[in-house]
Amino acid sequence: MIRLENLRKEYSGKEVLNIEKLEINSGQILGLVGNNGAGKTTLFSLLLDIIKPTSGKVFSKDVDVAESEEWKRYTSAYLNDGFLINFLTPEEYFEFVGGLYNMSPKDVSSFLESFSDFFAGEVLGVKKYIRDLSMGNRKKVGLVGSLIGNPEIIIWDEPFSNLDPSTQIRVRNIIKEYSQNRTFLVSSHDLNHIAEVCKRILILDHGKLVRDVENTEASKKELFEFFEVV
Amino acid sequence: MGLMGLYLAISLMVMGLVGSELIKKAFPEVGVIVAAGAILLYYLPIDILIRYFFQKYPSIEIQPYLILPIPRKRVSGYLLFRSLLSFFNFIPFFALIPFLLGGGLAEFSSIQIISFLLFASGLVVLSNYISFWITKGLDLKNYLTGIILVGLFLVLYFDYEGYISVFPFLLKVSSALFSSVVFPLAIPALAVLSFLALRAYFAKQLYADSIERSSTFSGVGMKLSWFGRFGLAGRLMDLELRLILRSKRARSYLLMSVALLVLPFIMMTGEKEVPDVTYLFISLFLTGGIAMNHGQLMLSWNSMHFDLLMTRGVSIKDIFTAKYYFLVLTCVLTFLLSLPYLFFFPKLVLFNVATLLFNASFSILIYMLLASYNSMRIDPDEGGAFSFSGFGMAHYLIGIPIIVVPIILYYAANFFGGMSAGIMTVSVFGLVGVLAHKYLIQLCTDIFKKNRYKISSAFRNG
Repeated sequence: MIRLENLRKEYSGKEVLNIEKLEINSGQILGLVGNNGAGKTTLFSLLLDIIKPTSGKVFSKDVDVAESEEWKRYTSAYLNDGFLINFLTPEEYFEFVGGLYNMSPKDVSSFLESFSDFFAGEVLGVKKYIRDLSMGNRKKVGLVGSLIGNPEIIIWDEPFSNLDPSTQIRVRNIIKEYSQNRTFLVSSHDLNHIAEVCKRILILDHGKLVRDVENTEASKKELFEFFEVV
Repeated sequence: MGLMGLYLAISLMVMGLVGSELIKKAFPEVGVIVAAGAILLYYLPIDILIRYFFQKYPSIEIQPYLILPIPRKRVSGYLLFRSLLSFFNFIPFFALIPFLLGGGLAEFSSIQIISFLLFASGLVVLSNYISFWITKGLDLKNYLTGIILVGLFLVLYFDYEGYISVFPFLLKVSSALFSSVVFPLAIPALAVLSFLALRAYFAKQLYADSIERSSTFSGVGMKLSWFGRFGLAGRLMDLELRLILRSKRARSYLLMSVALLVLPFIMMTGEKEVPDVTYLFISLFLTGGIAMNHGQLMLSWNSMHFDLLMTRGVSIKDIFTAKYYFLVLTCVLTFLLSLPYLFFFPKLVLFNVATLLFNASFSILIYMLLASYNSMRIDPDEGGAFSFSGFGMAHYLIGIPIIVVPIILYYAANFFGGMSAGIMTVSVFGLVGVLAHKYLIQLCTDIFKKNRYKISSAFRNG
């Protein structure tokens, strides 16, 4: 589904990411773990062609993402506030995103029905623009917005941060539920969440891929050891 | 700002330069200084109204200072001082300085000049603080705000209609003030008092939650607008419309552009013979005003949610297509709104047809080209109509082709075949562009694709 080849990114001469080869198959839940500055967001931004690789290429369904815009039809992401439209209400935002995939406002509102617990009454029908919502609620809007339009690939950067404990668990459930026939890429600096939901776990350290393992009890132990402070 | 700002600055300077001559002609019976003082006093309520709608007063930036060991009074004073740095406070001086240089100086003694300048500066500061108080100090839902604003407006309106005569009264006030060089200092004294009073007032009110943006929800158009039904481009145009209605800066550009519709009355009423170049000039602003003000920031308006647009189910071409059609619609709209000029200046409507076609192709193409080479991040809700953010040198340079090209085309054809040939030539030039719009959109899309990383990174990082 997604293939990286010799992907490198430098910022003013300093290398922040260098991945020789990585293949992500359809239907995988892939967890990306790393400390601050490990290159998680950079990797996602490269997959989404919003920053330019210093060298190397990203292929989605064997097509170079920098050459064609086709991948935009089946890929969605929530990396940060830049994926929200802050002068819209949450409802309008969902309708706008749905509209890009020919969904009527009715389709969108029936899609949203299953998220009423997730929103806890603080998002829908509150008569506020997204810019006036709290950080946590903005994140909820962004995460749910990226599920609209039946995407085949979903990329979430730090979906657990800034959320309350019960919502974090709900996010994990959403990932499990939505990963049927979809490719899910999730990053976090919290290994616990990743170990809970992901089938395959990657560790990035200073821009390099240092672990790439199936999620088993044995590998989990090894991963936790990696982050232990000596 | 951009082009509009340049235009405004030049107009003010010219007005200032010829000011003292005009005043001498209009008010031969009173001194220049008295008449100028009265004009400034008359401008005060207008200035307050303009500031209320367009000026953005500082607020949120002070939050970090509230938790530092700084007396509240000083924070409040800092806030008030910051507001003085607004561009609005410098606008009057674009006219005042040339006024003094272009004749005013010769009329006054040096001590009179100092007292006049203090008087004028005092009025600017006073107006700044009165408007600050109305905008920030009073709750927007407070009746007092409405009463003050409506009151100011009614005074101006009744005066215009002739029910009351404010100006002769102000002339008397002004001549009393300027009978000595000391009396005009009452105004700067009032300005200082307003500063002290507001400082105390805000010091009591300064809490993080009272200065945060309170709910900005207006409930405008929850339903998809009329555009929404026209597919993907329609959705994006609907988004553009919401952006304009809900973002302070975009909204004030719209108000400013609509105000341009009265330009012909201001520039042509009472003139015996209006040269064609004036017609052409006015007409360009008339049919292209919104497109110019809104279009020159093209993609910058979307800078805060650009990553969404770049990664989900819309292509870059869709974005440019929607932008193009939206701006064309604004040109058509302003053309229709200016049709009633048929009754006052029939010739103008002919020019409008030509400039409508010209603006709907060539002008918009220039804005799109500008956006596809270089764009800067702006927050559409920050800064009013006179904010400089998002503008570079290029935004001023594009004025040259947009204004000079039609003038050259017109006069080249006019030389051979008169006015109708000139209008025809500009129209045909525009029409060719309109017919080729799909090609032009593709052209800009291709250029943008080459620059997309640079532009989207500028949007992300400010």
